[in-house]
Amino acid sequence: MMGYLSLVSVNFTLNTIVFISNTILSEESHIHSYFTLSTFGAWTLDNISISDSIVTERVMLFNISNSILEIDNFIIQNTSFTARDLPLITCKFISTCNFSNWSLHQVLLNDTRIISSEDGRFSLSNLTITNSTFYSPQFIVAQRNTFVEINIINLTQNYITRSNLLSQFGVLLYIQSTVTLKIRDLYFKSHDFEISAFNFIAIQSSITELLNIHFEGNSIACESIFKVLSSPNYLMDTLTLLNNTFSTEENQEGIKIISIDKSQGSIKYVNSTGNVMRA
Amino acid sequence: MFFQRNSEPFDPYNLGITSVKFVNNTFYSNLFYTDDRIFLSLNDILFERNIFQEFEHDILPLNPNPVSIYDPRSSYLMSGITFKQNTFKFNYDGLSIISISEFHP
Repeated sequence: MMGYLSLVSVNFTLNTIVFISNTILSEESHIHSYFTLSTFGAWTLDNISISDSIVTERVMLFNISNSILEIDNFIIQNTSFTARDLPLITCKFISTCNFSNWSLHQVLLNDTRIISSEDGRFSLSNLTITNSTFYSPQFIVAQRNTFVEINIINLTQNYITRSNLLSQFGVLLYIQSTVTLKIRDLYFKSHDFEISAFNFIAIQSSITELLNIHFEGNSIACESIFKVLSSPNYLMDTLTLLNNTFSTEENQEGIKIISIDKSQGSIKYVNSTGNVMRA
Repeated sequence: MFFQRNSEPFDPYNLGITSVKFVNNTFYSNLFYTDDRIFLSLNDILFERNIFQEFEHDILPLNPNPVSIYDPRSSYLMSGITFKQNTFKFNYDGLSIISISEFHP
């Protein structure tokens, strides 16, 4: 199928698209989106912004399939999303998606995922999320033979809480049955939340690389920070835990920073300073 | 329809639309209709306080045809598009504000 993509000579460019305070009204059985990109083409979207909006249920931002796509400089501000079952961005089939320089500020997400990727190649670099509120989020969900590469995520002072719909799997990242997962430079600072009995990052992939993961000044209650499940080749290199409070209420054994099951690999250079662990 | 041009077979050409403002309108049908072999570019387009009422199409669609998609001269540029305080009421499932419809080689 990739052969089709290599034949495509046409390039599509969308540059500086701005959405301010628009309303999409949707019937209950209908699903709509800001962008549908489903042709065999190479796409470049640059300087896309959405602000001061309420994105109602049954509305997605991007519905992407069968495309080669780059989205650079994407900004969402003062916007709330209430789609309970729909991710903001869906990439599936043979899509190759490269996302860079994304910024979310004062965003409200209610029981939804930001990115869902299936059967493709997905990379994300320079994602910043600040002063936002998330009810039972799953930031990135990758499933079914997806190559995932994530570089430089900065999350600071967001409010994260749970609702009854919280998935039992990963909250920040839920990576399942993917070919390769590579995460470099994840910074998670100044958060205070409780998701007891759930995992913060859940990983099940053939190759897993977690490089330079930094947790600082957080107060987190959950079952585990990293749950690596059935990864035959994993590497965690340079994990920094600085001045955090970790606790759990439902698990008598206490919180597990790293929980590994049926996996083989290595962990190198863990720097744990000034943390409080509460059972 | 506000803009429509007919295409000639075997004579692909470009159509550029620049600096157009749509304010306080109610639309019931699509604004841009592009036939085969028209390569549409939209630049500096403002949609403000419009109502897209009972809309049966994507707002800004593109349907690349099997010939033009392999034409090296074909390209599609959308630059400087602003949607501000509009209301979209779609009639059918799956409609979008900006859409590139599926193409099967």
